[in-house]
Amino acid sequence: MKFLLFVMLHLSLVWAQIPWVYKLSKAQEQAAATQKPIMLMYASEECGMCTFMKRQVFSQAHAEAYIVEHFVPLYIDVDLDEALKGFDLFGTPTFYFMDAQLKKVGRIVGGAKVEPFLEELKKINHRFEAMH
Amino acid sequence: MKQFLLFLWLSALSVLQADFLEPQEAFKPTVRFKAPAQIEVHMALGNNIYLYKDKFKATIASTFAIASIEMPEGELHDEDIVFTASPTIVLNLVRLGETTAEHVALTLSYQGCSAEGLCYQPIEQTFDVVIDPKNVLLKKSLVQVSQTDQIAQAFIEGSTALVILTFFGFGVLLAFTPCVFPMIPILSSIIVSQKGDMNAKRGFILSVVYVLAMATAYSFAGVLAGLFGSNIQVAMQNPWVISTFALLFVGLAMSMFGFFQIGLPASWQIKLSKTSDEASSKGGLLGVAAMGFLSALIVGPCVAPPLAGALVYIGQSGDALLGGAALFVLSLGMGIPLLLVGLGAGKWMPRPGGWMERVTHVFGVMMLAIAIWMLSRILDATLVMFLWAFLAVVSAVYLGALEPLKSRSWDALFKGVGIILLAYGLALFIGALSGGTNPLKPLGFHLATVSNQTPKLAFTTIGSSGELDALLAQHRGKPVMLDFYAKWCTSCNELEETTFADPRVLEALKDYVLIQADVTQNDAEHQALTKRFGLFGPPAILFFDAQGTHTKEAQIIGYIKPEALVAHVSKL
Repeated sequence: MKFLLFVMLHLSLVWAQIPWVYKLSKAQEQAAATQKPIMLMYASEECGMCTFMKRQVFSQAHAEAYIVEHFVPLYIDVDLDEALKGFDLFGTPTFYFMDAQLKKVGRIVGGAKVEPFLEELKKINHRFEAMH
Repeated sequence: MKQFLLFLWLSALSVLQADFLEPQEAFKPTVRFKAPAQIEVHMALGNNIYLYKDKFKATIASTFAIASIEMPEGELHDEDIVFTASPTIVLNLVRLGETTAEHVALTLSYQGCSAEGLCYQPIEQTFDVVIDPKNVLLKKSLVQVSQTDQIAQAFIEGSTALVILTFFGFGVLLAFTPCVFPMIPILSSIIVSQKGDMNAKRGFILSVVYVLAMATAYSFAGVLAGLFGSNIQVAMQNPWVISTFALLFVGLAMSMFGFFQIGLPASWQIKLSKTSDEASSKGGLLGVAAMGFLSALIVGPCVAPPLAGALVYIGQSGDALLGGAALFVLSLGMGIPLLLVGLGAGKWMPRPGGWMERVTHVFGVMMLAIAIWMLSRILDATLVMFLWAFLAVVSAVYLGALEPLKSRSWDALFKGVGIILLAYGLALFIGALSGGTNPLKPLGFHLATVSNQTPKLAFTTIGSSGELDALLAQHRGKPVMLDFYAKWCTSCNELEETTFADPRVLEALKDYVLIQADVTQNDAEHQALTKRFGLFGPPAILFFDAQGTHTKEAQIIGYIKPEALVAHVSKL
């Protein structure tokens, strides 16, 4: 029971707030409707850095708020799904940013601590706004 | 616009990606063949790169395979064992079949991360490795070459002196097995039955003669078996020879009881006393020699690895001299305890008088026991029980078990022993009447129905090559163990009672189809079956793989201990 509670607590910390979608088509629909860029995260179960991102970065309230406000978060587990055409990776986590028509806006390879990561997200968001 | 986008994109890359090495820079494996049978993989890791130990895999698709992988310890990093320093990994190769191929396709798969925050995708890479297959061992030979062939090989490689010395050593080791034990009561009975003065020296001489004759018989039989593939000792295991030999012992026993004066027809008397004269009377060295010779051939035909090895060598090289000499010293080694028995029997033999008579009688009983033991190979087990009962009861009566005690002296002890013997004899008798067959547990059949019997390996018994092939075909897909057994084979019975009844062996062989070839009769079918596998006689344990192919390297000749058999099976 205690264990279950622990797991649920963790899940809620990590996942509850960021409304990840798991299908590209769905992400494109949302991106078109909200005029936000898609933030694609390639991750893998085995990847320590991915876990770090989920637990230490996305769980922080201001990072989470920024992502929810400015991006459509799309999650692809590379162990389960193929990488998208034109969005290659050689490691996880890798983030791609794109508009609803799949035009690339930016890329972040590898994880980072919350502040530098947020910095990059902000730059990418500016670039997106400049494009549209 | 497009150019602007590209510019932005590149600037993003330059900011964010510069820190991470490309996978081909992060991991730079080099592979090389290292004689005699290894491939060395050196994984050069880039700066800040680490490799997961349990994600490293290596496979070879060809007639070669990787038997084992040796890796450095590694270190703990976030609950995983990783290499942070460039590791050198050693792959030990084996061959799966005959091949002279020099190229192997080695596929490595591995996965690692950069400590700066990126985990690389699993990487798979194939290398063409040039190897020298000459010294890469065949996988099966990891099990070991069969002991028999190793010994046969030793003849060719070792010097004559070394071979002779080694075989003497083998003999001494064999001396303490049931192959030699039956000789001990036989020899001591012969020494005791000698008339006239007995002392240590004379006892020793008699036993030397006995052992020399035994060794001669062994090497003679061995050379013939090696050259012609027919085992005289096994041929001796027929009802006529056995019953004649048993009768000889009965005759000897009777003469020890001094029975010849009473009751027997004159012609029997002459014949029997002549035999006993030859075999055991004053100065009967020739008789002792004859007994030694016959005992070797008849009493305990035991096939042990050194014996089979010598026979194989003789058969293959035709070198009867070295092979025969090896067998001779082997038997001398086996005779060591017999020499000690002779020395002891001579030394502690009581002087003629009251005691002398009793001791003689005890050995007379022992001879009868040997006769019954011999007959147990050819007679029905229940009948043998009756014979044991008869011997025990008559001995008990002789010891005065049913007579009032005349004085409270040694007679009390004898009467006591007599009563125990009487009880045992009656138990045997009751056991025999109820169909019991085990003289050591005469009433065991009653208990067997109540409590569980000790579980043993459940063999399917066969008696011919055809039956074997049918069973092998029927059980295709499962490994098979084939045991050669004969009633007269003392080591076989030892195997049955110890090794094959051991729970660890039962567990180790639970996936095997168990077949037992009973070659007690030694008829044409049995001989053909034994010859088919180049065996000289039981005991022998053969293994077949799931495809029904006999793996000769794995065969076991002679007795094997439970632990050793379990270890052997685990290597197959």
